[in-house]
Formats: sequence, structure tokens, C-alpha cells
Amino acid sequence: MSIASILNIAKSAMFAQQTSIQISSNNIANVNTKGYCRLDPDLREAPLIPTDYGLLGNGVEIAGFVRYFDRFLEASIASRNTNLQEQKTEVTYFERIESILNEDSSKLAENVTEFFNGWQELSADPTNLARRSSLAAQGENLARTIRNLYSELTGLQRELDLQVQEEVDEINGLTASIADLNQKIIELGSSSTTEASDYLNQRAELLKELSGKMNVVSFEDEAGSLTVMTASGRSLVARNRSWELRTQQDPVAGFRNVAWDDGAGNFTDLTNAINSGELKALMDMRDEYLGDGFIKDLNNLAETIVTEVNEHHSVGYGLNGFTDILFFSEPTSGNYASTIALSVEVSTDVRYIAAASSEDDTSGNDNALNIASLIDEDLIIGGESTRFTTYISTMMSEIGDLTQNAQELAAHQKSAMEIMEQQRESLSGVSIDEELTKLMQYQYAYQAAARLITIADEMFQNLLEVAR
Amino acid sequence: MRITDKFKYDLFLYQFNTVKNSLDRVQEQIASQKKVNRPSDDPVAFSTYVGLNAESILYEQLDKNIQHVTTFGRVYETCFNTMGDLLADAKEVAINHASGSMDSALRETAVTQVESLIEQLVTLGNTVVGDTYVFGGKQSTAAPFRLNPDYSVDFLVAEGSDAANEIYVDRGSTAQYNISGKEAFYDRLKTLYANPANAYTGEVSLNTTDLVFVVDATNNTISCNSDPTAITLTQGVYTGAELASEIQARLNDAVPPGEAGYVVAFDASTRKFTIANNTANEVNLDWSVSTNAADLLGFNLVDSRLEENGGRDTSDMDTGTTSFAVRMLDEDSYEYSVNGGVFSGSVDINTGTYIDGSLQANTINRGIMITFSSTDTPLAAGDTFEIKDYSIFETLKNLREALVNDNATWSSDNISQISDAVDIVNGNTAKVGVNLQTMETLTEANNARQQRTSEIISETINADLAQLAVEYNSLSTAYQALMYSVSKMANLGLLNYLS
Repeated sequence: MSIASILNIAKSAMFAQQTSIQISSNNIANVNTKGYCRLDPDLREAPLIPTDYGLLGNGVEIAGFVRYFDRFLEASIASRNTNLQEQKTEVTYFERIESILNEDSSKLAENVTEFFNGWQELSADPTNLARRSSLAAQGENLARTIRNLYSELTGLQRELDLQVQEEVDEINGLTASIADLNQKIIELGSSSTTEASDYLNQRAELLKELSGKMNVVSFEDEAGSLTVMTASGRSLVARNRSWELRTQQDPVAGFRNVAWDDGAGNFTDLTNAINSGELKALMDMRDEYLGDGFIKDLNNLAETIVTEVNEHHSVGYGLNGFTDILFFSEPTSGNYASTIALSVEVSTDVRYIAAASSEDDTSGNDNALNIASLIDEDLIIGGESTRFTTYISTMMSEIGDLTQNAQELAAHQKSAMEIMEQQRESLSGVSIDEELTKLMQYQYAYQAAARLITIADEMFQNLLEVAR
Repeated sequence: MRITDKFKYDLFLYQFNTVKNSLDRVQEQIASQKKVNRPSDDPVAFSTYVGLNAESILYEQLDKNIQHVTTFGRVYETCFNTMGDLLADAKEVAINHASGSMDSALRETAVTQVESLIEQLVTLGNTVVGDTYVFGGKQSTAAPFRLNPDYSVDFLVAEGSDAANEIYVDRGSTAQYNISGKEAFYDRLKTLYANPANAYTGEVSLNTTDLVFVVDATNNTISCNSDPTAITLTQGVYTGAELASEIQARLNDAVPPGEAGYVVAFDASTRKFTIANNTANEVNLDWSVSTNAADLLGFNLVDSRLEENGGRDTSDMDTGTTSFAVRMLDEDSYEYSVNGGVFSGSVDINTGTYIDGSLQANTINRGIMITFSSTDTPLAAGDTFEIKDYSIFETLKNLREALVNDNATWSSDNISQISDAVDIVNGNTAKVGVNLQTMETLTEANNARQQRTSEIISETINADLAQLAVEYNSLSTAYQALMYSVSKMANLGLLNYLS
């Protein structure tokens, strides 16, 4: 046991406390870093050295770092993020559909009612050309309203389809990044370095982001490599390799489907296997809620308006004696909502409007009354017996319910996520107060170690004085 | 639980967002004065609002329609009051002349007065409101009456267009908004008009005011669902109501007992048949095949498709427009024409025979008999008589000619005919009055409905501003408190205690 050993102990202590201060500094620096897991130094007593009096302490050493990370909690957060992102995407698009269909702006029910009121107006003076022109204008207004709504809804549908492509591209980027990080973690060989910790944090964040886009299954092997698979068992990441997803155009619907690329040019369709996440929400909104939902509803409404009005109109007689004239032009493609418009005859000359029901009495109003009464009749719209305004208010109710439901689910998911994030933050987050306390602790320890050197130095001086 | 700095700030952020969202929501509600601005705010309320708003628009239209009927009603009221006054004047003239108290100068003045009355009635008949001829029936853009130099008046509205139009005044319920010239100036009772210039001044009368329907082997089958003899009517002579009953019975022959069948009715005021199908099956009446039956019942030669459970169709044409003209050949015989056609051969005047000399009613005479009472002045060659629907104009023209020819007998006959005219006017006045009363009731009901709808919309959608103001204040306070606590919390770090 020598004075020099005291110096060694002081040196190791100063080094250890200085490193601890550095770790605390890093923690403080990353107090707001997303996904950061705080570190603590793993201080251990240095190996004992044998003395004449037995084994004696030889200072302190840093065995490594403690990374505050709960893999199960992180997995739960990633899984919860799948549902949260799905709901948030649905809320975004339901709100957009809602803003398109909102009666306050679309005036769909109002215009339908005004159109049939126009027939009532005409019935009060069937030969009046001004009233006929007004009815034609109301018909055109209704047609324009439906066409505009259809155009906006199909525009949104196309946007969603493009969004599917972007999501797939992002998923491919994420899986490639995870594979890259796997490689780096494997190369470092140990997760107890700050560098490895940084990669692990980044990978956890990427996995969370990936989980938000689609439901995936993941697990870590003994080498620290993360394996990621789709819910249907298709590999996305294994060690340093990643597999890509592709989009393929559906030959019938014309929209993008999602397929898994095995790397050898073989594609497996995954569209139906993606059952949650942002990607699922985008495809559901595109296909189910727009394609088979509101776009179809609007088309059904337009079809019934066109066919019912035309059916009555074609058996009536215009002021010019013509019969078998359509009020709305018949679509050539079967798509009523996109093409609804006044027939050429009616838009050219309002005398073609068939208000009368008899060729002997072209100034009659019976046919106008028949058409006006359609607003109060139960008609078959989309296979259901209902009235025009009831059908529209049901559409409003439906989008309202869907939006509200999605908002509530998103709020619930967000709340659940908040709780999990709080738990994660509680474990892995940085507390400035805590770090400052530790800093004080390390600083005092450092000062004490420095004091040891001073004492050892004085001891040396004393010894040298004696020798002199 | 460890409370980290991020935890604290995230929590504050979350709470800020929550309060800010609530504040934005309340601000939006205050600005729009609605508590439901979009379907997702309250799907049921919004859906109710859309439905009620559409209803409200419909009620506004019904209100306009009711106003339209009321406006026309007021015009008709004025017209019929004026007509009543004019006819009262005419009656006074007829009474004075019939009493023999008029010398030639007075008669000349009376003739001028009657001519003026006819002119005024024609002017009334051609009354225009806006650009609508109110007595034009369905043909409202052209004057319905034309005054001829001989003071006869032509009704220019074609058969079929001479009916009144209806508009919706309630949901599923229509009301007549105009009265056609046919209703206002004519009646469907067959009336005999003698020419006041006739030598004959005795009584002349008809056996009936209504034509009969004669069903024979030529017109007794109605093709139904492409079966040419599906319905065979019993041959015979019928009144309109009797024929309706016969058609109903034959149609129902094929309907199983206990099941709903057909109902057939005859409207004497329009002389049209209505056939209603209450069976569970759609039926097609092939008028294009059964042309004679169609002619008998006043249907166009266009097939009638009667939908099941209430589908109905009504005659297109008035079935009783047939008119006759009689021209004496000598004291004992005459010739006649139907609907202005060529005159027949000589027909002897025999008591108990129909106008065509037949002993039975047939499709030509339609059951019309003309009877002359013997008087001191016998029938003479050239004397003419007309049998047609009653016309106010014809009556007044008749009065004018009676005055011109100083035929007090005809003026006397005219008194009762003018009374008939007054009855028509009174009937129409009453009808208009009832219609106006109905419109008044409907206006009140419609206003009440609109009011109720507005109230429900208001309760469903509109915001309670007082409540919102309180809520806004409360949220503002919460927001400020949050900001205050954040600033305080930021000072509560260890950092602030270390120098």
C-alpha cells in the first residue's frame, strides 16, 4: 500500500465521476429527444488488491451503462400506435368527407326540394315560360350540385389511392432503415455502449412508426437484431435484410392493391391481410367508405332522381306538343352522379318540359303535379324504399356517426397512448431535477477525489521533508 | 412514479389542447349561433335538421301555392259578384219585357243594355291576372271567349283544356286554383233554346236534362290485359251512375269473393267515369282495342295501366257534349242534326218518340225527346231550336233577340233561364268562398307547422348563447389558470435554486 495507490484511487474516482457527469450531461441534452432512453453509469468497485492486511479497495470503475428501457412496454406502444394511426387517419378523411357532404355547404337536400318545388311552381302556371326557365335552372342547379359532390368525393378517392403509394414507399424506407440499424447493432456486438443505445432508440422509434402504418409482428434475437413480419407472416426485416412492398393496380376497380415482393420478382397480394394501421385506414376509406359508400349512395340518389323524373316526364307532353322527351339526359356509362344534366331538348327550349299529361291539353299541369309529388313518395333508392330527403338525411347521419365514432375511438386510443407514453416516460424519460441532483452528487464526489490528490500530494511533501 | 420534464410539458400540452379545442368549439358555436355545425357534432340532430329544413322549404312552397289559390279566389270573388249584378240587371230587363210594359223605344234601350251586359260578361270572362286568363282553364295564355257581331259568344278553349287546374296546397293534397270558363258560364244540363224569331210561340220542352248512355252490341266489350272480350257489359240504356255500377259489377265478376275489387264512379259535374283498381294485380284496359267502349266512356284510344292497390284512371273527354239542332220543315215535321253535322231526313212530330223519331233510346238520340205544346201560333217551316249545354251567353243572346223581335214569351222563358245563370254564379261564388275559407285554414295550419318546424330546428340546432357565454368564460378562466400554472411550474425546478 503506497501513497501512489491513493493517487490511483483518486484518479479512478475522478475519471468515473467525470464520466458520470458526461452521461448526465447527455441525459440533460436529450431531455426533449423523442424516443430517447436515459442512461445511468454502472459504477463498480475496482478489483481489490492484496495487501499485507488483506484485500483492499482500489477505487472505482465504470462497468458500462444502464439503459432504462422496457421492451414489453415499447412493444405495447408500437402495437397501440397501429390502432391510433388508423383512427387518426380515419378521423382526417371522415372529416373531409363530412365537410364535402355537410348540408350547410352542399345544400343537397335543399336543392332536391327546391327542384321539386319548381315543379309545383310550374303547376300553378304551366304555360308560363319564366316558370319553365326557372324550373330548368333549378334542375341544372341540382344536377351541378350532384356532379360537384361526386367530383369532390372521387377526387378524394384518387388522393387516397396516391396516399397508399406514398405509405408503401415510406414503409419500404422504414424497413430498410431498421435493417441498416440491425446491421450496426450486430457489428457493435453489445448494447451497453452509448452508441448502441442510440441505435436501439432509433430502431424503437422506427418500429413504432412502422407499426403506425400497418400491423406488424416483431421480436429481437440474441444478437440484438430485430425481426419484423407482416401480420400474415411475410418477412419485412430479418437481420440486415429487408423486403419491400409494392402496389399493383386492381384491374377492376383501377386502384392500387398492396403486394409483398419476395425479392425474386414474385408478388403476393397483401391487401386483405393488412387489417389495421394507417394503410388499412386509407384503403378502407378509398374502397369501403367512398367507393362502396358515399359515392355509391350519391350515385343511387342521382339514378333515382333521373329515372323517376324521366319516367314521368317522357309520358307527358311539352307545351310544343312533343312527348317521349327526357328531362335529364340518360347516362351512357351507368354512372348517374357524374353525368347528371338536363336533356338537350329541355336545356335548349323549355317548351319541351312536359307539364301536361295529355296531347289534347298541352297547357295542363297534371304531369307537373305527378313529378312534384315524387318528393313525398317512397321510392326505391339503392334498394331501399325511402324518400329523397330521408335518404339524404340518412347519408348525413351516417357520415356524422362515422366521423363521431372515429373521433371518439381516436380520442380513446390517444388517451390510452398517453398513459403508455407516460409509463414509458416515467421509466425512460429524463428529469432535469434528477439529473441536477446527480450532477451535484458526481461533482461532490469529483471534488472529494480531487481533495484526495491534494492530501496524497501533501503526504508526499511531508515525506520528502522528512527525507531532507 | 417518476415525473420527468417531458412528462410535465406533454401533460400541459395535452391539457392546453383540450381546453383550446373546447374554446374553439364554443367560439364557433357563438359565431354560427348553432350548437350543431356539422353532422358529427350530433348525427341524429343534424339528420333531423336536414329533414326538417327540407320540410320547411316544402312548406314555404305550399304557402306560396296557397297564396296563389287565394289570389285567384279573390279575383273570382270579384268577378262573380260583378256577374251577379249584371245578371240581376238582365233579369230585370226580361221581367219588364215579359210584363209587356216596354214600348219600342224602351226595347231599343233594353237591347243596348243587354248587348252591353254581354260585352261586360265577355270582358269578365277574359279577365287577366298577370299574364294568365283566369277563366282559360288549362289554356291560360289565350283569351277564352270571343264576342261575335251577332252577340253570340264562342268559347275558344278546346275540349280537354276546359277543365280547371289543381296545385298542391298540402302534402299529397291538391286544390283547384282556377275556375274554367266552362264552369263559370256554362252548365252541363241539356237546355232547349228556341229561336225568338220563330213564328211558334208555344211551349216547347225536353224530357230530360241529361243524356243517357246506350250500350249495345257494338260498344259493350272492353278489352282487358289483351283479352278482347274480358268485360262484356249488359246491353241496355243507362244513366251515368247506372253505367258506372254496371262496369264495376262486370269488372268485379273476375275478382274472388272477399277480395278488394274495382270501384267505378260517374261524376255528373264533369260527366266523366273514374275506374279505380283496388285489386292486388295491375290491370291494363286496352282502349286502343275497345274503341267503341272508349268512345262511350270518354277515354282516348290510349291504354290505361291501372296499378294494383289503388291505381285509377278517369275519362279524358266529357261524355255528354252531344248537341242537337232542330229545324221545322212544316207544322208536323222537322229535320235534325247532331253536333252540327248534316241534317237528317224528315221526322214526323209524334208524342212519345225520341228526337230521331225512334221509339227507343239509342246512340244517336241519347234519350232526348222534344215536346211541343199546341198553341194558337202553330209551328212553321224555318222555326229552329237548339238542344245543348246551358250557356249564360246563349241565354242573354236569346234575351237580346227576344227584345229585338219583341217576343215577350221568350223573355218570360228567359227569366227562369237567367235564374239558372244566377244559380251558376251563386254556386261558383259559394265554391270560391269555401275554397278561400279552406285556404285560410290551410294558411293557419301551414304557418303553425312552419312555426313548429322552426322551433324544432331551433331546439335541435341553435345554440343557447347565454349558456355558451358562461361556458366561454369558464373555459377562458381555465385557460388562463393553465398558463399561470405553467409559468409557476417552470419556476419550480431545482435549477432555480442552484447558483
